[in-house]
Amino acid sequence: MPFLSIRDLHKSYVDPTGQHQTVIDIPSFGLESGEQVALAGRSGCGKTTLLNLIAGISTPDRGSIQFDGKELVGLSTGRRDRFRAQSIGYVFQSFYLLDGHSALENVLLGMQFGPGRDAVFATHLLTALGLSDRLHHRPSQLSIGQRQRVAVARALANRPRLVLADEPTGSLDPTSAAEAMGLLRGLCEEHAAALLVVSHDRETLDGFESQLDLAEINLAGSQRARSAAESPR
Amino acid sequence: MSSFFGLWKLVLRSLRQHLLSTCVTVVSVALATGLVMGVFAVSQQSRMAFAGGPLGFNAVVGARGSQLQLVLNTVFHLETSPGNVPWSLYEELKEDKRVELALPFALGDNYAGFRIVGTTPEVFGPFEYEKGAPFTFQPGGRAFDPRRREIVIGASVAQVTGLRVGDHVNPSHGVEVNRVEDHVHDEEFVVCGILNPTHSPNDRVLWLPLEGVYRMSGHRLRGTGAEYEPKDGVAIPDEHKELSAVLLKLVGRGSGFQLATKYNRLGKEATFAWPIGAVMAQLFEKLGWMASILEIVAYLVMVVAAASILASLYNTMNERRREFAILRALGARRSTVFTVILLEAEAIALGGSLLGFGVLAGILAGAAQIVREKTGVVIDPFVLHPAYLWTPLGMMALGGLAGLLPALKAYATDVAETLSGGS
Repeated sequence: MPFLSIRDLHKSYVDPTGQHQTVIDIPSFGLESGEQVALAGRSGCGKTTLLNLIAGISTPDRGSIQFDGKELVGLSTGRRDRFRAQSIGYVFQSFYLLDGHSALENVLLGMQFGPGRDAVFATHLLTALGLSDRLHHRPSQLSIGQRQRVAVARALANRPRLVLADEPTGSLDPTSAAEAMGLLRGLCEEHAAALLVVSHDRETLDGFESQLDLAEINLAGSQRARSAAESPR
Repeated sequence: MSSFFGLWKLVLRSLRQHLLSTCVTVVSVALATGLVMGVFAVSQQSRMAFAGGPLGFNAVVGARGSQLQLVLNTVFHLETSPGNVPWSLYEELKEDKRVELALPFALGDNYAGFRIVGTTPEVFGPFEYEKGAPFTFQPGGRAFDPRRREIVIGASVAQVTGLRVGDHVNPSHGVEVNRVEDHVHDEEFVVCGILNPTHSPNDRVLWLPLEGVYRMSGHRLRGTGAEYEPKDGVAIPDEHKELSAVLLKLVGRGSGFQLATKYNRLGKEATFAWPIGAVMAQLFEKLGWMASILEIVAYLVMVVAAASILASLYNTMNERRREFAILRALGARRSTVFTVILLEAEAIALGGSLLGFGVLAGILAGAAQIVREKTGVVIDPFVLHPAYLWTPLGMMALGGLAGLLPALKAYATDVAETLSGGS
């Protein structure tokens, strides 16, 4: 059985006209332990929604998400919070660093809700990402690339078993994007963490041996894509 | 599991990020708690100072009228005298076996606004202004000689006027500060002694012999009903002498009941004010409604301070929704962000309460200074009051209540929606 196993996952929302719009309809998807997979998808195909469901930030309408054999769907909010803090690292598209906190403190904050603050390991991660001289800089004092690396360090701070990355290179130039992805993948490998990256950036996707098109596994996404293509202009 | 230390760091960081709003709120809480504690402390200490002091005498006898006015006039040297009593009453009390000491007071003059009291040398002993505390002299001073024009001055009088032993004093008529129409007596009195501070209204008094008061130019005695003007070298017949009051030290508690019955119930010419503490307590009971209003105002100020905590936190909620969503995405529980906001409210309440003790110190110092200047009564700013405990605790409770609404808003933050939802 895969380390991450998704079965018959459905998620819909009510649009402003009152209609139910299905965003996620995934019959089956899995990820092995330590595996690194890239999911390609255009804007609006449900990339972020899928990652939020896996992370326990959102809950599905129905279906199953099993993480290491443990069912996540149906867990209470508190248990999902604990699961996220202990097992998931999340690199957000906009990094979501806290402005009033230094780079080091942002990483420590990530640890605070998991196994606990470990300044030595946090410093080690930031140093490994080339930020040893930026530990006490605030996000506003860092370049976009540096902020992205802080977000990567924070995602890895709790030694998660799965790292989710949502358009991690979306804000970077091609050189920085390649460098950032290299670091992220290298650190995930070093810490034996599985990595699921969703992106629409071809260069980011090309680095992965295992690539999937989200539209292929998400029936709702493909249907919406078809609807969009067939709709009269 | 998030540690309290980690949460506390988040709280401090957030408070620092909104420094101006935090400072203004802390100051408003400090003013509120300081005001509440100040109202209770000043009220208690004034009562203790005016009604609870261990006086060296038990009763005052004076003209028929208000006991309170008599006590204020004789003991605290405030108000005007309700009238005079005949010398014979003093003689009668002096001979009464229930009276250990009778000290005659003749009032009506002042020097630079300080009251002058005509009395006998017994005021410097065996009389005690407080239990076990007779007046003592500063070096070089002594009691007045009743046959001479000598005067003894209180410590505050000496400090304010600069009078020294050997200086000359011309009393003015009336007990208030010199006014243009007031008559300055021709008689000059020599300062023969300065009393050590007593921290009582007596520090603001000048003491001279009774004869000195009687023989002051312009004074007329009406002990018999007819006016009598004392003449130099001629003894004043006792029937012409009058007194403003007689201070009494009684023998046993039963004496007070008996004398109260004799003068207040059966007699018609004098008022027997006893016990003095109870008479003063009546004053505070009469003014109780005013203290209650002050207390209500102080409580309302506390509620306003709590509202300012609510406003200061609530106003930051919209800009902080993203911060809460990020914390939640990192694994913070709803209860954690709820606790962070509550801790912020409590931190403001605690900081304000601690600063409130500074405000209290200022209020007490100011009140003590004013009370001392106006009455000579010293209130002790270091006397503890239960309000020093329950006011900060009450403020913390109010702060917690004020933090509830913003904390609930933080609790209800939708992470996915706030972090811009699905793509």
